[in-house]
Amino acid sequence: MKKIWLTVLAALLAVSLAGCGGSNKAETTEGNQGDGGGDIKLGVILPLSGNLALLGNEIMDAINIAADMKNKSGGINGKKIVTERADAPDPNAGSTQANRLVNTENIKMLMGTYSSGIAAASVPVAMRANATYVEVNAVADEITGQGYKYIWRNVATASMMGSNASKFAAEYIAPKLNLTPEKLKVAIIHEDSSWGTSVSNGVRTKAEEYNLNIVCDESYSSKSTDLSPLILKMTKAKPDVVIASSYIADAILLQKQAKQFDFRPKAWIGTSAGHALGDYAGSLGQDAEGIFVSDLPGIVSDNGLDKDAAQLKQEFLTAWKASHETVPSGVTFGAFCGAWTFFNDVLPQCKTFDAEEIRNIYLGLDIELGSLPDGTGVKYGQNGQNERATIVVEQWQNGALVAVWPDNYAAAQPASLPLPAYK
Amino acid sequence: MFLQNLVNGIFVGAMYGLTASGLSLIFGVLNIVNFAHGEFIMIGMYITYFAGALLGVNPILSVLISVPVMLILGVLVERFLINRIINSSDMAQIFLTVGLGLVLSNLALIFIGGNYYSVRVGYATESLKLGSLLIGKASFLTFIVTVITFIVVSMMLKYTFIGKAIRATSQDRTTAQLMGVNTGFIYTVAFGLGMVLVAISAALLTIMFPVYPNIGNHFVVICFVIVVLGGLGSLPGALVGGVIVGVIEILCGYYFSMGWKDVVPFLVLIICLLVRPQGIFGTRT
Amino acid sequence: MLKLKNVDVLYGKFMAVKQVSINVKKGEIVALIGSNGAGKSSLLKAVSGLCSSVKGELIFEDQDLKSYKCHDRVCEGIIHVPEGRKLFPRLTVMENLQMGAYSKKARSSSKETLAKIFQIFPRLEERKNQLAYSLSGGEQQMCAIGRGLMSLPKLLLLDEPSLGLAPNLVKLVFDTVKAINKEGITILLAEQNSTMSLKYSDRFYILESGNMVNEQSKDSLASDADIKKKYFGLA
Ligand SMILES: Nc1ncnc2c1ncn2[C@@H]1O[C@H](COP(=O)(O)OP(=O)(O)OP(=O)(O)O)[C@@H](O)[C@H]1O
Ligand SMILES: [Mg+2]
Repeated sequence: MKKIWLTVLAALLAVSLAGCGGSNKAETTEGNQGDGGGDIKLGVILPLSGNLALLGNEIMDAINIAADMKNKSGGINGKKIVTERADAPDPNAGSTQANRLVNTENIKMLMGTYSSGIAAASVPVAMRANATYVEVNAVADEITGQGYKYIWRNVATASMMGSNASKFAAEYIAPKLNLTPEKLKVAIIHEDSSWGTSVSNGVRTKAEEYNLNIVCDESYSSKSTDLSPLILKMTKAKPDVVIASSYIADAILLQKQAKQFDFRPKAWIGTSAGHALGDYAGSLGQDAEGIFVSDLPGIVSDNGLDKDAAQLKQEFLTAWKASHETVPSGVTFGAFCGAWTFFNDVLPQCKTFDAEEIRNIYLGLDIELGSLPDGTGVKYGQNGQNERATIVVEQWQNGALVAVWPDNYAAAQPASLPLPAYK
Repeated sequence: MFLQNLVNGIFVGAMYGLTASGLSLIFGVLNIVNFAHGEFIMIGMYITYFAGALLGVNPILSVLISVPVMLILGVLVERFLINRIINSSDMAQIFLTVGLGLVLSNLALIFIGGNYYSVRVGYATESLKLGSLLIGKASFLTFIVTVITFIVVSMMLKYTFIGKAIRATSQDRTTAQLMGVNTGFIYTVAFGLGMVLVAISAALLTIMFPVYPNIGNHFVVICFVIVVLGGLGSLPGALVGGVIVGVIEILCGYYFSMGWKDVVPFLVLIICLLVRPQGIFGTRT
Repeated sequence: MLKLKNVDVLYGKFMAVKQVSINVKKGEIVALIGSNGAGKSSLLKAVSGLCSSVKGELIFEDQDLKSYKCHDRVCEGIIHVPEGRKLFPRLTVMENLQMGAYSKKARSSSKETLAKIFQIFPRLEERKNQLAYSLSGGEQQMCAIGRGLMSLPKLLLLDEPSLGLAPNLVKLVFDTVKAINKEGITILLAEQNSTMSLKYSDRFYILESGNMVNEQSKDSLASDADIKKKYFGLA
């Protein structure tokens, strides 16, 4: 018996080591430990291990790059920003880590969280402790819909992402296909977790506003191992446009099975998430070409940026490329911009750094659209949602995701409309 | 359309059956619920992926690599880990296999990373046309391989001496020992064979699904449902259970609602357990 | 052939057999007699290797049995037909018999052995493709004994072969045991049915709550009225 338990304990130990590799360590962003008391500490809660680690770590890097850039140009009135990383691979860990940061480490400024599920667990903890929480990626509408006073989200909400897809279908695709919006047949499909559901709510509401002809409206589980019934249903409904809110494995499966059953709509719009990942195109190759993605803005055309923003974008990309092979995605850009606004426009005005003071500063910010590297501006509502968050439509062209709509952000023209028949 | 959905259901069901077969075999012989099953599928899929990406091996042929590798892995895991808990409490077994699964997926995350990798083969998205019926080449291939695998494994269990010893051990391990069977060896063989089945199913899954450290989660729940539904430890049960679940799931998805599709297996399971608690092919103990 | 000296069998802290010494000579039928829980099965399990916690000396044909694992003892010529038959329920009769010849030594000549066993138990041949769980109690016992014989044993350990059988079947089983013994197979038998054991065995040992209370041969019993009365219900 003893041996067994040793084995089990060893396994569990290995898990915890593997799982939390590198967490709980304070990092100064310039390499060596800062000189203690003078630093401004920021807790960063992200999934750095587990399922979501891939983007979680990229987001961490983006935040660190922003902190680095600020520190190099003198910091916050001479003080250095120090990020304390907290690995939260799941909601449970999210609330534990938030607790640790605000109650044990006494850090009253937090940032995160990438996953809306994790944010839903960590944000309330921070709110109860009257700590500031800067949400730089998670998009679930509820995060800023609970009446919290100290939550600040720079990126768009899930439903905004959805409604933008419908808007694009009505305002751009329909005319291109010589159809009125009422004649445009749309299929709305979405995975059935809270994320997919809230995005599709945005899709549906906006589609109804434009009077689009919704011919199919289905949810499915993202863990589905087969989506052929959904494809066959759409084959029967013959939509012109499919608007899909999917994670990645299901997004890939949808495309593969659509081809298997020769289902080819005139346009296919994914809403961020799965459709926006590099691995989506990597997995599908040619079959990803021409797919639209309604997404947080990633690399947008400089036409949509003012001069400082274009400059800042270059600096960020240079720093990014020094340690990454891929280009940053929309979420990563969102993280950089959210962190940058916090470091550059909020913190320097702080005296006490308490949440109430930060709230007043945030509410007073008024920065035009196009002033940040992703083309967004800053104007917060009382609920903590940035009203100048923007959404763009991107398209997979030659294996890369490029912004194509609206015009002022477009780095290329939309192509493959309608989508060509399968070869 | 009904026929099309029925055929799709059978194909999906065969895939389920094959994917669950390794779990079923291991449970049947070792009486251990291998909670790391999904992670072993993940490893098999990575082997197939890398065989394709680095050596240009077609997913189907990758079994020539993944089967021996998984067999060896299975033997080592059985010898050094499973072996120690074979007579322990359920709790210890759960801890060990769950822990093992966590370790494996985290190791994959650390050493391979969280990316989603896919092999790209033409037949993944091509179909054969039979009148108005579309038969996905990949699904058809999976079906054929599943049938062949089940026939081969069943024959092996039925007619070879070691196969009989495996069945005898699964039915009564103490008496098997009394007949001179080295049950420890049989456990190793059965676990290795289970891993071979995992390797084959993983190779086929890689055609349609991207592989990443937690891909196992997509399949493992359905595997558990099928193993219980088909009758714990019964290989034909796994196949029949898989097909039943597959067909009902697909028909439900098409005629009723996609949202219910993934709940249906559980409903089928609950109904089955009420009517026939030991599962379709199971025997009461 | 088999010598046990001061053998203890332990289940955890519980001692099921205490300081038992017995001796079985080649060609004998020796019976272990005792009521429920006396430790008969435990003693047989100690010989076949099913009990892991055994103290004392176990010698079989001048070899220390304790250095052999359970499955290796079959190769050495010891086969244990356990209490309650313990057939493999979802194997056919044929497959059950084949499992008896699993050890390398027996496997090569399994065809001939099988023919012999079908001679002893013609009933088994008729039912050879039937799943074992569906056999009647008597058939199951025949199958269990047949399976044991398939291993070509030198020593057959028989645990309660008469359990749950009608009197005429009990007689049949014991007759068969005698016949097997005539073929040169030594038999160690555990039985509650003391009358039958007495009739068919050459010698017997009496166990009571793990202790050996007596060793008797048939002849010496005649003169021991106490034992006669207590264990055999004979006046
Ligand atoms: N696996 C076990 N764990 C714990 N105790 C056991 C075990 N097997 C047997 N015992 C105990 O050992 C004692 C002897 O049991 P054993 O089966 O040897 O008796 P027996 O003489 O064969 O009885 P019966 O005639 O009823 O078969 C009993 O008290 C029993 O409860
Ligand atoms: Mg007994």
